[in-house]
Amino acid sequence: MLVRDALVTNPLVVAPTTTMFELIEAILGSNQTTASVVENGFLIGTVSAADVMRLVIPSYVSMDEHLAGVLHATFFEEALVKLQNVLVGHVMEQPMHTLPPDAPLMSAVVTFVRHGRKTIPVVDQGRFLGAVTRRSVLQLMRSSVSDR
Amino acid sequence: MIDNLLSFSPLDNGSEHAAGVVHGATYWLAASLFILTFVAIVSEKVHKTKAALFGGALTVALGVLSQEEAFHSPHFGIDHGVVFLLISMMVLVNVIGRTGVFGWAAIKVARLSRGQPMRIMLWFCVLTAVASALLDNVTTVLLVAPVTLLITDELDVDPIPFLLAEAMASNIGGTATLIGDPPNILIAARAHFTFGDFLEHLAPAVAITMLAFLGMLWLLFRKSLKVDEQKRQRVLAMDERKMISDKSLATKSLVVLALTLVGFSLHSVLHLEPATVALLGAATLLLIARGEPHRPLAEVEWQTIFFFIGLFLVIGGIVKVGVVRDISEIVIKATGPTAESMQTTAFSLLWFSAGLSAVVDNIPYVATMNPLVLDMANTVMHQGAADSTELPIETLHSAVLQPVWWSFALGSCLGGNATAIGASANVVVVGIAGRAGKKISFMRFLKFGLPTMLMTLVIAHLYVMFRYY
Repeated sequence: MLVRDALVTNPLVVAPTTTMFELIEAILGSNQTTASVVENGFLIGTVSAADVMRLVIPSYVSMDEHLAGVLHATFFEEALVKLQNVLVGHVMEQPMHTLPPDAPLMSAVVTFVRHGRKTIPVVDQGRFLGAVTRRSVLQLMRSSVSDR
Repeated sequence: MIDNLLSFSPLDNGSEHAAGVVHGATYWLAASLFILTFVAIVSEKVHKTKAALFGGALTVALGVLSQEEAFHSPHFGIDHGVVFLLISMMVLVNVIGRTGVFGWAAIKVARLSRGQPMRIMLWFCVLTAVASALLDNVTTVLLVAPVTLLITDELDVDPIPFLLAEAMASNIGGTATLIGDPPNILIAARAHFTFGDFLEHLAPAVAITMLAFLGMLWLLFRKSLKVDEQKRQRVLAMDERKMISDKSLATKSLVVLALTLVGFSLHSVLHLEPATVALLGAATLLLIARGEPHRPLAEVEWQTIFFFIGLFLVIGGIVKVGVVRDISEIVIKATGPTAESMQTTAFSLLWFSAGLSAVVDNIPYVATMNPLVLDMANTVMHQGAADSTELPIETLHSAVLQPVWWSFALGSCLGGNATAIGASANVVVVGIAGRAGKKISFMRFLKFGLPTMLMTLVIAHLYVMFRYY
């Protein structure tokens, strides 16, 4: 089995000019928490719900977790307002874990487990084809059982 | 070559040393190891702990110090009292730091200041200074800085003046007690001063210095630090009780810390060394805190501990072979101390120590100068007849020598305020500010630090002058 067999052709995709606030909307409107950042058909990065959360954590809480208890009631509201000015292009991670469509499916499984990924973009010479997700891989695994 | 060096009996070399005598190979070996170690530390090309440990290990392995001296001599070898005092205080701090009690106090103080930034800055500095006098400076700023970032964020004011002021308050406060700053621990160990001696002689100087520092902050920032009512309300709405993660442990820790401090100050009754008291405190807290001792022990700053160990050996080497005695003769010629008065020496040491501590680590500096002061005292007060590593307490604490020790301590501790690299607390604060996206440049630190250092040094100078001369 190859990566292309589990390919999701309409995964969550955003542009580098998407704001982080819009990214939240996009994540909530899909069943995925990681988006591929695509420009002119080429993959230029990935961005996820974890990146949103990282932006929301103030430096002082990461230094002293006790301070999480004394944040004021409107903290998240204000933090999200600030995200309206932050662009995905400034936050995204360089595409590190990508796979070509003809890679063995096991490579995807290993990447999910070893690197804690939830979505792996599938690219062919930089051109974005789609993604494999944990869900799409599990579906393919199960279908191989039921096919017998 | 090494065989040749080892064939010199180190003991003979040390004891036969006298001015004018041609120095043996061990003398130059010890001096070279000392200089190379210090060059390595100051250059920062090698981590200072690696440099000191390697120099120390060579000092023993090449026979400058015998193995017996290195590990068991209180004069030339590792000072286990200092080592265990440092370790024990770090363990205490590690447990206390995790309870959130410091953040509790900081938020309480911010609320009592009614959310007014000027008052918060002043009270945070007082809190930092007091905590630094009782705990180590780095831990204190690590605890106060995040709360400061939270409060300044809520008030929408620039955190940098707050953070700079806290670093300096920490260095000033740490000067007050035996355990407040490593130079004091080192001086106490060599000059046999008690916790009470430091309170009697340095705490008043620190109190005056601190008041002047707070006055300076008020003059500098009273106009710019103003915020509207709505922002103040945010600080007032905070609930400091939520900062405490384990109330029972927080209480226990504070009780143990308080008892440890009482133990320090009862030296004349209990006759327990600070290291013994601190070790008892740390062991008690580990025993009554739930959970494995792994974390508080693992979080001891082992780099600092091994830095001290290496330094003790390298410096023990130059003390033993007589390098220190030769340098002390230079100091005596330059400052002309007599058995009646060492005023010039005291003031020279105050300013020289401050100047050096502003740019280099004050720990190796004090560790080196300690034996030098002892040797000078021996030469001047006993005509060099006594053993400088074992001077009688009457000499060490004589009215002539005391102001020298206190000037030494004041200069070494307060000098650190001048630059961003002058003290560990400064380095930590600059790092924290950077993590919060607020860069503090070397020049920005200097603009605030140097005047602060000069002001506190002038106060220290006047204090020594009026109190002792």
